[in-house]
Amino acid sequence: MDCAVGEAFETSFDSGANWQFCVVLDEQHGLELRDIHYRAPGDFSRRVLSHLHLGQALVHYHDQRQSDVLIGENKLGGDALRVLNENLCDGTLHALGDNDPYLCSTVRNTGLLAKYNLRPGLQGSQYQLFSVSQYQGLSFQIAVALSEDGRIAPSVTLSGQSTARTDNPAYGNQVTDPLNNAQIIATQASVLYTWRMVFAMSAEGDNDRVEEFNFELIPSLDNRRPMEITALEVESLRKTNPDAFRGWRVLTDIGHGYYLDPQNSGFRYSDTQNNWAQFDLAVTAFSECEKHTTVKHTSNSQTNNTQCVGSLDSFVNGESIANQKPVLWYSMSRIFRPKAEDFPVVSSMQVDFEIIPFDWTPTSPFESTQ
Amino acid sequence: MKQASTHLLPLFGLKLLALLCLLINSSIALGAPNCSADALISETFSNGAKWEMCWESRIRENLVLSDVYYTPPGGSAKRVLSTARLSQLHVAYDDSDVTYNDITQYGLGGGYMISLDESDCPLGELLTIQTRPGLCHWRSQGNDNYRTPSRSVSAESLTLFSVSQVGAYAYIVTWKFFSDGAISPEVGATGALQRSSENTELPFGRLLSGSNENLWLSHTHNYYWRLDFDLGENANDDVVTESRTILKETGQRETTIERFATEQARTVNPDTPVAWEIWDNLKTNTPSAADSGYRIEPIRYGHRLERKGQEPYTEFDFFVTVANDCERFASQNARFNPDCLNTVAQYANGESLSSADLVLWHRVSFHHVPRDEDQRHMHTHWDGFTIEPLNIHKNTPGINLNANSPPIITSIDDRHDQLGTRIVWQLAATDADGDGVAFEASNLPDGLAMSRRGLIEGTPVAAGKYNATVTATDDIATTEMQFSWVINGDESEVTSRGFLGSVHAVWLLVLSLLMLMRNTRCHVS
Repeated sequence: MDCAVGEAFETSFDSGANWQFCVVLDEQHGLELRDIHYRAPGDFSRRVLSHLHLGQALVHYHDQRQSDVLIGENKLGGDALRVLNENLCDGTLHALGDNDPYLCSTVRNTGLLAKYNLRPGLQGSQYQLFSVSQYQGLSFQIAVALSEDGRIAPSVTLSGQSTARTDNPAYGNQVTDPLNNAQIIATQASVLYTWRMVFAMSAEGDNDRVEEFNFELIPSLDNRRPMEITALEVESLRKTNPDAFRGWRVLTDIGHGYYLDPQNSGFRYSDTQNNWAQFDLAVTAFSECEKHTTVKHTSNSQTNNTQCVGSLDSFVNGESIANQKPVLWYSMSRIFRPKAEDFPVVSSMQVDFEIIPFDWTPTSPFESTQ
Repeated sequence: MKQASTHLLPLFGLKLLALLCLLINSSIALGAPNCSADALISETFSNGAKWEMCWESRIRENLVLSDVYYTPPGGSAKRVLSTARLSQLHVAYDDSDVTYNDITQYGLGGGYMISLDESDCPLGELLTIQTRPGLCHWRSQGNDNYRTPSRSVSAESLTLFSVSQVGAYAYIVTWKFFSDGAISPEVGATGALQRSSENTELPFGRLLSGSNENLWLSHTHNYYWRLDFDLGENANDDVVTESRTILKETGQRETTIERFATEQARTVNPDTPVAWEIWDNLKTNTPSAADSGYRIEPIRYGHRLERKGQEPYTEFDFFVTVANDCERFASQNARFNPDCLNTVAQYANGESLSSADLVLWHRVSFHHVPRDEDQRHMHTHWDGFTIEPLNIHKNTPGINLNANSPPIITSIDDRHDQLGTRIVWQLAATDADGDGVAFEASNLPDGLAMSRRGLIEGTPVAAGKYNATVTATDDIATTEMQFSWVINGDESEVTSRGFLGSVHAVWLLVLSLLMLMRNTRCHVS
């Protein structure tokens, strides 16, 4: 495929499934995939997303009053990117243009993709592309996994060195520094990762719709749970609702789509400085300059426009998303609670989610191979 | 003789008891599971970590693991779990017409267990349950264990799974034991959709492509695991705490720790994130660096089935109870144990946890909205959680601190530079292990900055003597070097240089002016 920006990547599986996309290393957010196309076995290649990248990463050390803003005030691209080598990549190294290899791809067996009674089990595979960025002593592996069955799973994995210390045990955990046997209180930190997904599934690229699914329990109806589907027609901030099994679907005008099931959302971030951070999802109309949740500097990448300055709170301003590419900003949080296993190097803490094909194909595309 | 024997029996009994105690203690000291060779699973990883356990298949739960021991790299074996198993597989349909408790109504073992073949377990070894291949034993690469500037180490895992066909659904009941000491119980749901309705107007499901006659019903899978922890040598000294974090008005986040004194039933609230920790012999209410145990965080809580009017135990996500053989299943327990309580919420009835053998029960839910891709056979949907080690290791598992060489910074001499002179200076460091090295600097002359790759760049803007410090780290060990850096000159000089560029620029300017004057003169002549 031709890439207007970045370089073309492609991966194929034995089943005939295939992914094609363009890769960009942005100065601010690092890894970005564009024009992501999925071909299910026996199907033709269709675009799912036009842009997929990290829209923000916040790190809040619990004894501090404010979060560190990693994209906008700091950065995860540019010289924050680490050059990879064979020791850091157990797959294939990739260099864009004349640059150093900042990218690594791997292919892994993911176990049983499908099984029914005594029919032979169908094994699944997953392709993953990642880069690694450095912020202070911490390393962030920013990855996108593309599965044979059409799932897209972005993730951020925290590791590296945790150097923050506190005197107050309410903000940290007591551990022994293995390098000098000193007793320390290592500071806890909450992280928030917000992924920006620009959907472009419709043939014209701007007819995708967003729906919210809820399944509220109605005790007076013998504990039944009617499915309620609400079209999100204007920009909005949304929270998960675990008791109503809330989820979101983006679909084309002919009903093909992807579903975002907020399964890994046991923690909510909240923040006294960033109102938007208390929400799990924001839906906005596509804007080239609204790339990050917090844009404070007009000189940031490709945002030499004062209209771009603002935050997700101001981007969500009631604009209609009809006939525009819908952008889903999905946020996930975790708490880093230090323990001996995190010194001298933090044991990896992965935060991930997935979007899955939803009526993308009329049946399982693997049916003929089972 | 009779008289003699009546005197001797108590003595003999005491000796026998002492011998038994000795045997029990010695078996614990040996740190090994107690089962026959064909029921023993043992896996040693490349970092030296080792997992050992016994396994059995039961008609109801199918796979039950017992006597689970973990040996950290370079450490000794310690018991983690007395038993571990899935204790209910509760399926509730949105139309509320049918609820299944698959383990107690049907079972995952016996005839419900599917015989596996190489297509199911291509990278592992098949173990036989009774006469059939029913358990896949697979050693695989997992995700990152840790990452330094120079090393990325994946955690290896011992994966055990069996598959049970219950109705149209096939459940892949899986246990993963990682080389960094973590455990992940998981269930994969695959097979085919179970229930549909001919009333296609109902709001409880979806019509799928190719058929307008059946409405396939949405439903929830609720998995309950029962984990009988026995940390260390004494099964009755474990303690459970809950760490709850709240955001204060000041912007800071405070974590409070509650030590559970009695049996508990807890609910997850994403706004006040919690972690549950089980400790070996915790002496105080606040764990210190010397305390060790395991942690469970309720990450996978996007869905939770609660209908307490109908099934009160569904209000809760996590339970701590005192071990009782009578309390086997999370629901419908009395079906097989008529003299016992019926649900896990009833087990948590205020009994003291002090000096007791503790059991943790954990629930994870998944709500399944049918999609076209579920026809005819569904792709596996995985659910589960992780039990992570807490101070079980002395440091990051897999890193041998004694074997790591710290970076050596190539000698830095004291330095003198002129104010306003642009500086580009690449520092260097070597590492005997070949590790990548990252730099940091403090107290550099104003106007200078150093990248993590050790490049100092900039133009000094203030004269003076600076005691600079440079550190180089391979993310494991850090080396520090100090040196003196004198910037000569005064501020006014900088201002003039700032304006004109440099001393050379001034001379060039003067020279240019002279040349210009000469040329002008020539031209005039």
